[in-house]
Amino acid sequence: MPDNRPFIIAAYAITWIALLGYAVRLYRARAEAERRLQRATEDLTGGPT
Amino acid sequence: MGVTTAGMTMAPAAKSRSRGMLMGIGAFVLLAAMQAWAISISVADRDMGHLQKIMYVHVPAAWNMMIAYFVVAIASLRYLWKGQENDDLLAASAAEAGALMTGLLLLLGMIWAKPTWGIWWTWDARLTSSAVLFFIYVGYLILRAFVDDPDRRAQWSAAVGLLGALNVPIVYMSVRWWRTLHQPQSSPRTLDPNYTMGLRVNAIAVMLILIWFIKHRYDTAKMERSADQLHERLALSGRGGINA
Repeated sequence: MPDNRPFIIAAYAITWIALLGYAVRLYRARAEAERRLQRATEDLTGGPT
Repeated sequence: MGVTTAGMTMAPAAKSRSRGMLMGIGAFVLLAAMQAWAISISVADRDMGHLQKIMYVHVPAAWNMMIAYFVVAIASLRYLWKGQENDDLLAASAAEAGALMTGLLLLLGMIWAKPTWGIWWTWDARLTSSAVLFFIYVGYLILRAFVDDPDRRAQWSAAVGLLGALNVPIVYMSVRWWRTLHQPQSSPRTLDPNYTMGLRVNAIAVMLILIWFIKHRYDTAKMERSADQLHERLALSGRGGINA
């Protein structure tokens, strides 16, 4: 039977890159949304909350 | 004490974020543990040898893709029925995670196909219907990016989301309805008992990650919407412009 290890390693590597990559993207998007909301709230109330 | 803005409160946001982070890290650690466990206990398949281990990532991606699109369908229907913006945001969050799972499913399928069938891709009913599903939801996300009016965006998205979800049963049944190169559906009933538990626990671990993805995206979308609404209020009151 041929050595199929590269295919198995590639499958697991791609899975982790996709899942972790998306998780990091979500984390950054949330941090940015929090900053935007904070800024908008401060603009509306006239100062830091 | 925080300031409440359109359903979002600032002070608990940081606490909610750290709790969310812990949930996410926990789900990823669980996935790593379940993958290691399943790989270590599964014996080589008679026909495929150790290539069978790709099943522990390929099949959970397929099952969780279906879960994500089920959420899209329910949330889209609810939006069309009740017209509540939160349902639209939930549908969009699930569609994004579903598109990720579908893309992953297609890539993993290609990696499995090459050593098994000798080709990366074939226009087989299962592969083609999965690719169509992927492009429908990529189109859904592009549509959302290009339509500015929130009501129109939500209505069109709900229609496309439902159309895409109608394709899910076709993807699932394609291996029975047509003669395909792809094997029948992998489920605990069609699998060798040696592989059943490994598949189940990996599917559950990926499902926890999917739930985290959808929740995290949904919370973020609500915050973005609240910030937009505050900017609109500011602009209307004449105290400031859009500061996005």
